Amino acid sequence: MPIAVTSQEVTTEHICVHCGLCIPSKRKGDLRFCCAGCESVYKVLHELGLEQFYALRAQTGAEQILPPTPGESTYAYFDDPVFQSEHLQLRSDSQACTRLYLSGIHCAACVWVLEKLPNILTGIKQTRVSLNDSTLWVSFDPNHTSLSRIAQCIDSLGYKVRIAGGEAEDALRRQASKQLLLRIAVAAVAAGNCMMIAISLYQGWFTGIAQEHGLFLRYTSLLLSLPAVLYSAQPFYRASLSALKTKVIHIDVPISIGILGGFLLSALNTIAGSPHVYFDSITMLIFLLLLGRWLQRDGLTRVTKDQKLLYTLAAPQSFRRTLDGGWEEVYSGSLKPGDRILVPEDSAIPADGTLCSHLAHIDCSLLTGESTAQRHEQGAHVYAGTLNAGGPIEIEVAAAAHTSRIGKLMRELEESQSEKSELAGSTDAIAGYFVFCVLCISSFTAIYWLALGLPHEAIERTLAVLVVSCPCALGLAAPTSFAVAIRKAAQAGIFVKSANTLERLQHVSAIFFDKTGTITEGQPKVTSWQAIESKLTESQLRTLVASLEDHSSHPVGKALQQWAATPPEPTFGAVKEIEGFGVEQRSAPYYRLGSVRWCEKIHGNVEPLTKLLSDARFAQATVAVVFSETQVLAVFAIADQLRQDAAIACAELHALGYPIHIVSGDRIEVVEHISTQLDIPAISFQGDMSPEEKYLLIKEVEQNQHCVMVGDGANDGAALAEASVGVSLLGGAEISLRAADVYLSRKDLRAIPALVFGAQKTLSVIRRNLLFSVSYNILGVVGALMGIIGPLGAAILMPLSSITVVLSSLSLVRMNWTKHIKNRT
Amino acid sequence: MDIVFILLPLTLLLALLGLCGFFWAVKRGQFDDVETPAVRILFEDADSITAKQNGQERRPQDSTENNTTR
Repeated sequence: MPIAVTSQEVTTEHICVHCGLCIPSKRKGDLRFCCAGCESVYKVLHELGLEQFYALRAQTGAEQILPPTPGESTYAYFDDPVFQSEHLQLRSDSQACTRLYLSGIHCAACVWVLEKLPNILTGIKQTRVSLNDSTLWVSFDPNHTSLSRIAQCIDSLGYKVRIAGGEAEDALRRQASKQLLLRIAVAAVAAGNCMMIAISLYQGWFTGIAQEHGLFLRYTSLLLSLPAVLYSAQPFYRASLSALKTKVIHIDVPISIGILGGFLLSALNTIAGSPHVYFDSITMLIFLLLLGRWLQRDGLTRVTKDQKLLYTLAAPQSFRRTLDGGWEEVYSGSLKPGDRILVPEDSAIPADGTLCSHLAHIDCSLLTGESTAQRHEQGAHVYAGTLNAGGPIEIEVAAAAHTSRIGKLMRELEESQSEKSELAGSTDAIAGYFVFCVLCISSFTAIYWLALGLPHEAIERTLAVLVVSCPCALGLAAPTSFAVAIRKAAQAGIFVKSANTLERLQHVSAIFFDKTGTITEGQPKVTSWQAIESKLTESQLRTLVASLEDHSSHPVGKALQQWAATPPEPTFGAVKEIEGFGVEQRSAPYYRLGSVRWCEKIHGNVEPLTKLLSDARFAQATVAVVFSETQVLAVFAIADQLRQDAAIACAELHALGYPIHIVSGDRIEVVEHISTQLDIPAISFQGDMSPEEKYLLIKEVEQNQHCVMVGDGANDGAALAEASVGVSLLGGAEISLRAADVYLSRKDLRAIPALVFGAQKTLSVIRRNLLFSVSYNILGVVGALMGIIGPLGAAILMPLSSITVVLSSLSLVRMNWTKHIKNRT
Repeated sequence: MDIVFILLPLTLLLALLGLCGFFWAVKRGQFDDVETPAVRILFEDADSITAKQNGQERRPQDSTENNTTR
């Protein structure tokens, strides 16, 4: 992700040729590009003669893309036998295939260039991009090229490569989708032709029809309905059977009863030569209901649960010490306890272990959310997934991947997720009453007519009731509304993963926010600064700060670099970092930039400084001081800023009546500062929370009420899964994206109140639909009982009720998900 | 109206053929991804590049080899 640049730093005439972002003024090197990444991709594309990439991109008007970030060095672990046994499929001696996940695919040009890979690298037979899930299917000859070579090639084009995990689940999902499509097709053919035949039959009622023609048409309808009833409707029967086993009534139960009852009646009547057949209604019912399900499923964002996700979080490759003292690059999955590994600078630690080096600075934000690197000494425990922010360190592995702390978190996450998807929807609640009523009415009907001594009439009427009461509209009420709502939400950048989520939102009564990266920007910035009786001008001060912090990887250092926005002075000389204090110039005049403590150590109590420190601007932030041997020059306050949309979103949520809570791994003072800015009472925020503590807190809250959890860090993953509804933001850690039920593609917190409001609207439309359907059903049943409504009546009533429900759901199309928020700002 | 005894089975046969075609397409995975093919129609030169591939003796060995376009 590019570091946000302020308007002071950007010369607006200069836009990167490759990615379209503004070129920062700090840029050294070829000024046509914003970074070395873009430059190298441009060169590669030109060398390969693939300049058409840019033409295609312009043609399709792709959104601004992110510049490529330096990927893993060699992808050597792709060739590791353990890795390959897990992820590569060998079709034959000369063909292997696999599916890769690429980040950075976003337009036609990307598809074009990636499908040109067989021309670029010998050995690649075919490549196929799938835009939906950003994956690339590769088929290659292992004798002529290796997977690591392929990955390197793709990387040089600007796409980071990972293996696409979750193959088994993906395959299952795709299979289920295909099955559904096939069933719909069969039902469609059956329904269409049965209806066509039925028109002739109905006509015959009015104008007369010959006996043999009538019989022929009815038998044909019977044959046509068989595949629909026996094959297409199977999902309903299966669901009903499992519902009955668990004694929970599902909406599929009355549907199955209606279908089977109707078919039975129609079959009996056909054989008996009677004209009362319902084949057209039944097949249409099956078709419409399946279609509704498909529409709902089609709009949902696909979730790929990747059990091996933690490898991509940690690091798929590690450097393990070999017996002769060197380092070999291996797949992290083959690490064992006792192995010694080397973790380079700025790399994620691949496994839990103990530190062998003397000192390490580790960024634990994955686990704690705290952005400052933590000091660890030899023998300390380090965890998989955390980042080595200092120089290269050696670690002795203690826990292999799945037994690591992150691994455990992942497993808790998966358990919570599977529990959630099994919760019942609102229509299912009604289904219970429905079945009861229908069975009562049909029993009474049967008993009544049997008592009158007319068994034929009894069967006829009872089964007719079952057909007419079949909840076609009821079965469409929820899916159609969800399908529309989910599409509208997607347009607003809110991606909902299952229809269930919208239902659960209805019962939510509190919202929990993570702090770092969610409510705050996630990156410390200089919030205020003050020069103290300085002989330096502002621009001199900026140059000085830039020079001192030029090589800093500390978040405070980076914030100061950004503030400086000036190139460092070339003759400044070496800068040394003093542990725990700051940075110091190695030559005269020995400028220093560091903590207040350090300054006081050297200069004692400086009057203007102490006065400034009591100022509110500096009291609640991290303070850095620039000073020379003789005087204090300037003070900086550095803090993680509150997001602008956070304040608006919180105000909106308060207005809608939802109490807001903040949970964070960062220090309590910082959390308090943010909370007061948002008008959140003291009982509602917590700091210093580990991921496990967040998870337990949400679990406890969920005992009494339902809540929404909004977070983006990897340390929020388990909590997100445990909450009734978990919301994750763009740019968030992989775990939180996978664990969440809703994913916001725009970093705008106003989507939260929009989501809540949208869910309320959707549910009210569903309730309206339920009202309509039940009314139609009552009408139908009464008519069937009185003998008024026969097959023709049923054939009219069913589509009528379905159309009503669909039109009612379409009213959601006109609803603008972000409108009501804009009106108030 | 006896013609219906012939016409109806004929119609159903056609419908069955259509259904078989659909089954074939679904089984072959043509409906798995409906977004990407929409984007592929924008690509030109598919034929000229294949022709060049067949005509060329030496395929590029490495990504640094120069490859000329049209």
